[in-house]
Amino acid sequence: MMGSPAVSIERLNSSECVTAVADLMEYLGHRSFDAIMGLEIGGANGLEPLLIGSSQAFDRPVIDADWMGLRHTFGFAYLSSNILT
Amino acid sequence: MDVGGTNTDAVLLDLDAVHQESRGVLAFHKTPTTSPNVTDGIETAVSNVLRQAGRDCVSEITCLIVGTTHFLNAVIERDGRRLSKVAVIRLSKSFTKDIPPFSDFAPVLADILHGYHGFIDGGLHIDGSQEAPINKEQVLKECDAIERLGINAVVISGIFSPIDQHFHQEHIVRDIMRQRLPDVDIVCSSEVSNIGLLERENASILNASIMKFARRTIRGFRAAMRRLGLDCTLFISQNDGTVIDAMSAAKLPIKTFSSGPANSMRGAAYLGLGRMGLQDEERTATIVIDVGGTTTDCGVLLPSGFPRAASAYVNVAGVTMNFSMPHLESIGLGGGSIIRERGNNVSIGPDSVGYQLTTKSKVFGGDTLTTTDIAAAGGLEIGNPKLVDYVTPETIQSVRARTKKMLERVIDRLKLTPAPLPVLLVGGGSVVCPLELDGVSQVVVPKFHSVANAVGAAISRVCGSVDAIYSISDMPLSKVIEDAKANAVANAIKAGADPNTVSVVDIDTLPIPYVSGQIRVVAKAVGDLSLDYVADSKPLPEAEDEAEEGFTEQMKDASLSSKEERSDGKTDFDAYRPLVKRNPDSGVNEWFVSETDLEWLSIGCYILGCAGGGSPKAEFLKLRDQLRRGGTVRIIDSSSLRDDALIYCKLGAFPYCLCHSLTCPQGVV
Repeated sequence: MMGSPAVSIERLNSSECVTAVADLMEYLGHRSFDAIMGLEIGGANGLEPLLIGSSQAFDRPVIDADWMGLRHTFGFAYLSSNILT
Repeated sequence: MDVGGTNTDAVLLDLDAVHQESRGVLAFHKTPTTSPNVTDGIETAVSNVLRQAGRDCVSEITCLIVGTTHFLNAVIERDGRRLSKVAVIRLSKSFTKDIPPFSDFAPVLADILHGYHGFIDGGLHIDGSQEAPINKEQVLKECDAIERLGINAVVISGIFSPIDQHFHQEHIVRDIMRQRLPDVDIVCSSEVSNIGLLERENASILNASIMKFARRTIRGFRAAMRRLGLDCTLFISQNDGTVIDAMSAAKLPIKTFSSGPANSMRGAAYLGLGRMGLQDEERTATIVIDVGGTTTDCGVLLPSGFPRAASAYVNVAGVTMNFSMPHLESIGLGGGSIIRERGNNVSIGPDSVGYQLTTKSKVFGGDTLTTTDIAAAGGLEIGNPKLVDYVTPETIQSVRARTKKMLERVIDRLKLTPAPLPVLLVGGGSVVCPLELDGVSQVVVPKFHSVANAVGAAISRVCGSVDAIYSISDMPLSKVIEDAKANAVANAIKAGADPNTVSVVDIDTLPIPYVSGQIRVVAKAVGDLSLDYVADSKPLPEAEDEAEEGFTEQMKDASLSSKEERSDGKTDFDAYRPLVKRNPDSGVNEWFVSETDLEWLSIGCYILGCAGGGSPKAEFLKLRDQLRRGGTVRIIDSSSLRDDALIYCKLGAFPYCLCHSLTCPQGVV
């Protein structure tokens, strides 16, 4: 989200970002994409990519990385999950 | 007085004798809270302290101050009999529809409280201009729906309503509704709290749902006073430990919602500090643990002796609200908490036998095992110990261990540093607590600790506040601040403060984003209760009372829904396993985000955002609802991407498209 959080604490998140991705896909002629990635895993921006990747939107995986070196801790999830045992 | 869910406590305090060994406590009495009519317990407790103090003291009583967690318990216990169904009308033509009212409520509570919600034209932009004007036809249509459903409590929730200085949208809607639905309680969110739509709306919903019950309760208080011959003013304690007159309290019961714990902290400070043998040492912060019959409330007393305030949000019964009140953590642990054994595990609460402790618990001949029974089985002298002979040492041990863990966890949540802090243990239910806790330097139980809440209520002060938007284009800031301070002091005196003791305790100036030439000023003045004011304002209770038939108990909702318990704080961190699955098509390991993961990610994002990027709350709620509807969210490691992977990037409001940008330093943006 760009701009001040002072707006979003009253005017709550809506589906603008999903719509914007759809518009960009149409503009670029992409029928799908491989993954979605966020700018920063912090504040509302940290969860927004999950909404875009959700099966209720584009159903694409979210990359465990952002442009400032933060992660959603896939490593933690992977290591503590049952997949290794 | 303190009217809790379990006990009703009364203290007679002589404010001229506060420096004596007794701290001015002339008499005190504790009696079980009676239900459904709390007034019987009040009469018992008050008449008892009056008798202890001697025959003629009735005429010397200057005021009765009541603090109560009664309303809070109704919400915590999800008691449908005492909570009204609420209709919420949001004012916003185009926004917020993805996150409807009640989104932030636990499903069980939402089931009980949600009567109806609708969206109508209205709302403001952040600069205070109108998003859309109010449309009377739409309001009347909503009134029809509300009437059809038989709902008696309505919240009007306008986007940016706290900065609505010109259009008064919420009030316009209220006036239209009031004409059409004269017998309905209408709450304007801007009168309840401040900026933060969801939190303000949550608080307004709870306020609306308890208004009827609050009126009935306060009416009960007055009736009891009349029968006792007490001809003095009735005050109600508020969340911040100050008092307001009963009339005002009935309109905004949410502001008195959590006064009990605030009072117990102030009472504990009054009774306990200076008795800890720490006078020569530097005073540290102190944790106050107040154990009632149903809940335990924990807070922090700062070295100054005042409670630490909650930073931005407070959480009551799982509902987030934006209120100024002491930072408290409440858990469902009390003297009446019900114990259940499941195999080798025991669970404690969150439900409680409450005021029925002396009839329902085993040690008093009842059939429900409570924490008090375990304390009795462990050697505490209460009731008939023979009735709990059958409780095995293993059970006692596991309940004790669980109690200790619950307390240590809540103490840990309150502490800002790992250094051990002293604990003041107060409240009638404190007998069920261990006296040794990890992370604690010592546990102190002060004299009169069992009535600390009532003592805290009795030493309450009066507050006056100002929260207004000033123009600084034609008045210098210093003058604006002086004006706000003077108004706060005047409001405190009007509310009953002694002019000689009033001082401004808090002043805050907040710029309004995107608006120049205006500033929001919040000022708070506090003073001692004026004895003259008390004498001047003896109430005319009969005139204020409402028709009796409006308060008949609604027994039809009596069954407590138990289909879902709150998951908060119940996750076993060590045993939790996230779900990672190999995608059969791509061969990539994918982390399927669960509701628990989402909750943790949301907290992490909030912290990493450092307040930039906004609160992830709205996104969290949307994602949570998607997961509950069966949606999935997958996260993958960047190393699993093909070299030519097409990646979309969510950058602010603009998505970007990157091709294989992760190995390309500049990216292809």
